[in-house]
Amino acid sequence: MSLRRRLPFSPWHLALAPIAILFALPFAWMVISSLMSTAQINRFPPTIIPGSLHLEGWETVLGGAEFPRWFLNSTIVAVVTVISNLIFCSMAGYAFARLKFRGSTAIFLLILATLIIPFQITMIPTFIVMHDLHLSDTLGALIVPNLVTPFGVFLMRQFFLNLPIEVEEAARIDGCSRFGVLLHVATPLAKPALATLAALTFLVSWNELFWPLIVINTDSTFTLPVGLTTFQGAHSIDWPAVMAGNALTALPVVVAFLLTQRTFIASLTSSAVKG
Amino acid sequence: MEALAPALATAPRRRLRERLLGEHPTAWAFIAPAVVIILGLTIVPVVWSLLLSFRSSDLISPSHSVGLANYKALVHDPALGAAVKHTLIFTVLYVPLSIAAGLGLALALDRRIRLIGLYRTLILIPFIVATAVQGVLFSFIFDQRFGVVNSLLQKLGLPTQGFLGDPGQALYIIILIALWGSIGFCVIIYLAALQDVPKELKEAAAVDGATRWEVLRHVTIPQLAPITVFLLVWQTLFALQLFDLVYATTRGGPLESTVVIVYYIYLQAFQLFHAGYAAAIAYVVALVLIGLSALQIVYRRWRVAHP
Amino acid sequence: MPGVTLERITKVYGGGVKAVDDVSMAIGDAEYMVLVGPSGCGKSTLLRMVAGLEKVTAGRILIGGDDATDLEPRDRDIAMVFQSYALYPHKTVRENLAFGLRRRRVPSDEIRTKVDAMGAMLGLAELMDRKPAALSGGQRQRVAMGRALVREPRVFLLDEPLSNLDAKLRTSMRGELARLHERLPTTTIYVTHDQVEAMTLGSRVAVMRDGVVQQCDSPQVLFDRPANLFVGAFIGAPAMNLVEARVGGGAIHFGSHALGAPGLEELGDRRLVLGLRPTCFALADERCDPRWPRLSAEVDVVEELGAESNLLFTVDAPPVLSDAVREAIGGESGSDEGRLLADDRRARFTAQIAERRAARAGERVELAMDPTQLHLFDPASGEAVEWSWSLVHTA
Repeated sequence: MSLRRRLPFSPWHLALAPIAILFALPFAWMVISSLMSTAQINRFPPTIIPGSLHLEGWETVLGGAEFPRWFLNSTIVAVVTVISNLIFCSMAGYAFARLKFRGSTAIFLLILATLIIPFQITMIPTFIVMHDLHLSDTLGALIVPNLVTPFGVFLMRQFFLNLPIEVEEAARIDGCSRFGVLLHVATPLAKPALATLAALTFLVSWNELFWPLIVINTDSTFTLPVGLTTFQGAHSIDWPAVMAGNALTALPVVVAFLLTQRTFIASLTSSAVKG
Repeated sequence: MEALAPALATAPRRRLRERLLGEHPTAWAFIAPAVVIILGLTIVPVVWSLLLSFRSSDLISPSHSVGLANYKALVHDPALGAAVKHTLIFTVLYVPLSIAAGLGLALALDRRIRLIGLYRTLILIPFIVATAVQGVLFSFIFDQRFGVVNSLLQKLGLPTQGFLGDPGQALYIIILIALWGSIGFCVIIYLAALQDVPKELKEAAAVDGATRWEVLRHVTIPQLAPITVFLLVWQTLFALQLFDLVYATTRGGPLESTVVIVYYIYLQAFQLFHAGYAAAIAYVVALVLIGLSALQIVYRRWRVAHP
Repeated sequence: MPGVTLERITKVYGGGVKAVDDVSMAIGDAEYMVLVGPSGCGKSTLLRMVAGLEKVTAGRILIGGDDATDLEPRDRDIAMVFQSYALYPHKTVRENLAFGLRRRRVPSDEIRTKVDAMGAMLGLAELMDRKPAALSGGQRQRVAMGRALVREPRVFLLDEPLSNLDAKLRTSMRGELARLHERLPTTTIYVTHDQVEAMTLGSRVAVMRDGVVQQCDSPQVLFDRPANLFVGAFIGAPAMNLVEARVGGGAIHFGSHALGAPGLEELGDRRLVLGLRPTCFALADERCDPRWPRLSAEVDVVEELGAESNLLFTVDAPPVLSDAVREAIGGESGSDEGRLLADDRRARFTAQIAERRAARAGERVELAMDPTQLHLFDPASGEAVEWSWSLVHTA
């Protein structure tokens, strides 16, 4: 109590500020060292606050052929995956929520069940399928298995179930077909769910490492996480460049997160707390 | 059925189609992409994998049946035993620590003071960046020669450490990185759950004479039980499937001290091309994971039935 | 043939539940048909089948003479007002009104004219650019009406459109709906559980119970000549007084009372249910028709309504507690739930006297009854029992 009276701020800051800094510090160090020269880093013991800034690391990363290519690949995969999930998960989720058809419950339960199937048991056959479809070592191999996700179907179905059905019925009477209802009424109302789906799909797609590692072999087809780990293995003395590449990989999700923090956090928590 | 008879007579064709496909045949067009992708690339591979686990396959040339040989082999594989041990060490330390730290931080962050939004954001950011980024970043920070940690130790006059290069330390450093990367998730989940703890309950306990600690101990934490169970299962599933972080830091080394189960499966399937053997290991692990998820689902059902 | 024709419509849900059972009716052009009944009686299901929102299990629906049984809702040229209004939350009032016309590819300048005219007619002109969330309940209701009217459909369907309004607004909107139909005579099917709405709006009213139409006729006939106990108990407020009775020797006996009236002899000697409209009572004085049967009662409670008074009294005979009566009363006043004091199992009567300060509580009064408002029902089947007085005076 006496401590509270003496401080001009809540005593909780004394505990929370250092912890928050501890979480942020590695990123700060990543940015700082990306702006050092290899000489500054190679000094032993290493510099902590550099005397001068150097852009060689960023020049290696942005000026080379590899990182821009990987950034493009990651972007293509993420954008296509997000868009196709928005479309296909909405359609399937809507059908499971609103349309009665034979086998609908059974198929939905089967899709739901795939949520708990770990990737390790599907990866080898999926690899063989991609090989047989002549997709291995192409971006298609990264996109096709993620065109629709069971989580997305589940999320959209839950959302559509909670929409008032009378609004959709009104639209049908006003002249909409089933697809028209989805397009003109259900989808505009589903914006929050679609934002959630887009945010999570982007996050997972952008950060994925395991599957691309398995199915992609050629440097020019790498996505950023694969490229980054490979680059680090090959250039482990050029830490400024590695850190610049690291920052480049982290940047889009961090920016996306900061811009849409509310949606992101709601997305992350909704399935756990409410589901 | 008698009531149906005249209706069937009026429009037999439409009714027949309806009886076969349900009221909305168009529904099939709506779900077709999902069914093809999800079932085709999950349910089919699940069965395929099972068949594969009874065969010897190098992914390319035709495979041949080996019966239960793969399953027999995995019981006596010392490398797999080591991978299991590493995985269990990781799980046993990582899961409770991440949950305890997540709960503690969430309780500390659950108040209206200035900068609280900034604190929450900073704690969550490590979780959203790629594990590859986390791994590469900490490979640098814990680098024996150029790493900032060793340089700090040196400045403090302490002996420098091998960290990720030391077989005795590498796994524990990976645990530390994983905690840094995932505590934010536990915090956010707990923070959301704390909003759902009825304020009246806490106030009732306070009126009944409970101290702040007693309110926390007897009201708040029991109310969070379902979320704690969820996180327990979720974090355990993550821990047992650890791969990305190992790949991005040590690639199993040094001296194979950080080879975990999924990393071992990866090595067997895609480096050594023992696909059948890898499938067998994957199947055993998957059964454990599915069992855990099933337990969680049963617990949720039970919770709903016994509120 | 314009209007709507229902031919032997049946709806059976998945679990074998029969929601609508063999309903046939012909609704004429510009007729105002009200479907009324307690919740779960199948009235909404029937309406939704006309709309095309539910498939019929058996039977045929003709709209404007064309078979619409298997048509999609959008192809039926109908409009519907929902209980929850179902306005598009993401669209402004103007867009809500225009949506149906747009789907029908009406030229946009024509849409504009029609929507503006409708907005002006319903007093929505200032609200056209607002979204539904920014409207009051009454305003939303008007938008919902406007959205249906602006399409100028062949048939107008309303599903409990006034239930979400407060009591006062509901009464005034009821009048508005009646005036609207005068101005734009369109075939209308109106679903409600409120018998007052049904009686005031409908040119004909179909009373439904358990998926079956009990009686379909003009409000006056429903009131004067209920076909069965359910209709008798359901229609009229306050509800019909019902008591277990016996007829014999030219009089109706219940408890210690005996009511004599001409024409009862032909009914012989049998058990019956007696139904007395609260409005059939009058204070027995020199103004009364001397042939009217009389009843002496001790008043428990007096409800002064201003121009008239309700006298509540108990008669020493058991009340009628058949399922039909429970269902008919249940929804609104509650047969058992409505009893605060579970003191006895005697029937409670309400007499509505067209006089102020007709009596005081505790007073014993002599009441005369208009025999035309006196109804007899078979206790087993619930069917109305015809007798000569009722035939002569109500036909």
